[in-house]
Amino acid sequence: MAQTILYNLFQLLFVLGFAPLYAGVMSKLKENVQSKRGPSVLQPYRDLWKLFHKDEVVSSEATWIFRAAPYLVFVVPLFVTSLIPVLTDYPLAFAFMGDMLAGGFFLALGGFFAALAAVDTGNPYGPMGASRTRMVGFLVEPVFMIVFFTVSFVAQSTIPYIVQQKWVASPTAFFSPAHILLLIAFLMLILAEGGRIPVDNPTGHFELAMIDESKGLEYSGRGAALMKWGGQMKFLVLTCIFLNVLLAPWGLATDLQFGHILLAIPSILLKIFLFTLNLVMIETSLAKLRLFRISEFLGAAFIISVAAMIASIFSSGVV
Amino acid sequence: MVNARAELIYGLNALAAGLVLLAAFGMVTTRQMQGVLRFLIVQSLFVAALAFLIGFNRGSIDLLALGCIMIASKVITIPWVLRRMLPRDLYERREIDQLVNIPSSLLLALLLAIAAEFLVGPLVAAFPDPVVHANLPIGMAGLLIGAYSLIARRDLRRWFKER
Repeated sequence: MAQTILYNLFQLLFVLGFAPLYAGVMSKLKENVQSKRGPSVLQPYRDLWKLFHKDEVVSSEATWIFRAAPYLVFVVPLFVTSLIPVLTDYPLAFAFMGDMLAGGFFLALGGFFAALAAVDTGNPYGPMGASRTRMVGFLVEPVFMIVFFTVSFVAQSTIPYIVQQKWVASPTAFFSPAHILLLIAFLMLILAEGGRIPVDNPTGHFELAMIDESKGLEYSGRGAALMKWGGQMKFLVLTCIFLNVLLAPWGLATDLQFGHILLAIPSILLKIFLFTLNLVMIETSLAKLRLFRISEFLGAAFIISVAAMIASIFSSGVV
Repeated sequence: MVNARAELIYGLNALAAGLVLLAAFGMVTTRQMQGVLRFLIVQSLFVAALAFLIGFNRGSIDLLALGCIMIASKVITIPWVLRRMLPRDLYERREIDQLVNIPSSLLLALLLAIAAEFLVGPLVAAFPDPVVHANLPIGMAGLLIGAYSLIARRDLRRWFKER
């Protein structure tokens, strides 16, 4: 028991430590694909270091929400991390504290407070971005729900550790239309939630076009660092759910030996790297959608997820 | 061993069927003529793949021939003919006129897919074959969605009327 709790904390350290690297590798690769040199992969660490050592400026209009939001945004992905398989194949100590729905709600909580904080300061660009994030948010949430329900139809459970073992049981389950449609819907969700290119431009610094970035506009110093780090961790956590639960639950540690858990780290980083390559291809080959096309993009994700649900209900012979 | 192979083929069959349905949804969402044509080609390729898979599994020459005809007609000939015959401006325009906007069309397409599952339900129940189970509802859905987009694309109807 004590060992599994320790491993759970170790997972937290993994997510904390590698989230900036993930962001760094992604931006470096993206620049390389566009034949630019790009910043070092360690740049996000340096940014965080720099921000943590700077003074913080807070608007005199701001309330406690503005001060509390960065901590929430930072902590919420860590909560979710303790519920999902990041390094191990078997449930760890906190795995049964909540299911995938709980994870989704936790992430939504962080997003909610970040949006409130953006409205809090009275900066005109903040509320604009916040309302856009909410628009993306409420279009994303039904898709999340349907994806989780479809998963629970197939796996009879919404605990990620159990779901992950059901998908790869047989090639029939892996190649079933429900699974493939679900993967596509979830990938579209990751793009929308992470503020990646068809929905939002993560490198854009033009206030009028921002969606996700605008939440952190008013933060400086430690607050900005926590918001940044939290956002990177959220993206890593979503990637881990996609890869370890839905797409490719291979290469995880299968027993309690600490050596095997250490060995799982490079294999997971390799999986994430391959995924990043695909993500970079998507990002460089697509243009950012116009704001009102986003509802179509997420509408398509919704339709695909519902189609996955129909396919899983009908092909399993429930009806 | 034989069982594992059959299972893999059923899996791949279901995968291709799912992608056929996805391509049908893709056709409903795209606005550009070029994009619709590309989705048609991709979809036909998957249908041909289905025919080859089942034909290979059952040792049926007819199905293999059907796959070849599918590639010759829907992947090569029909896109080529369409590209030559349709007026250029239809290709150059960024958006084709539609009667119903895209999100509503998507919802309609979804309803059609559900309806297809129900329509072929009794038929499917009569066959224990997993291939029928996976493919028949999706084929029916593809047919209904195709008929729907034929109605909803305004430009094409206008063009046909002028002929």
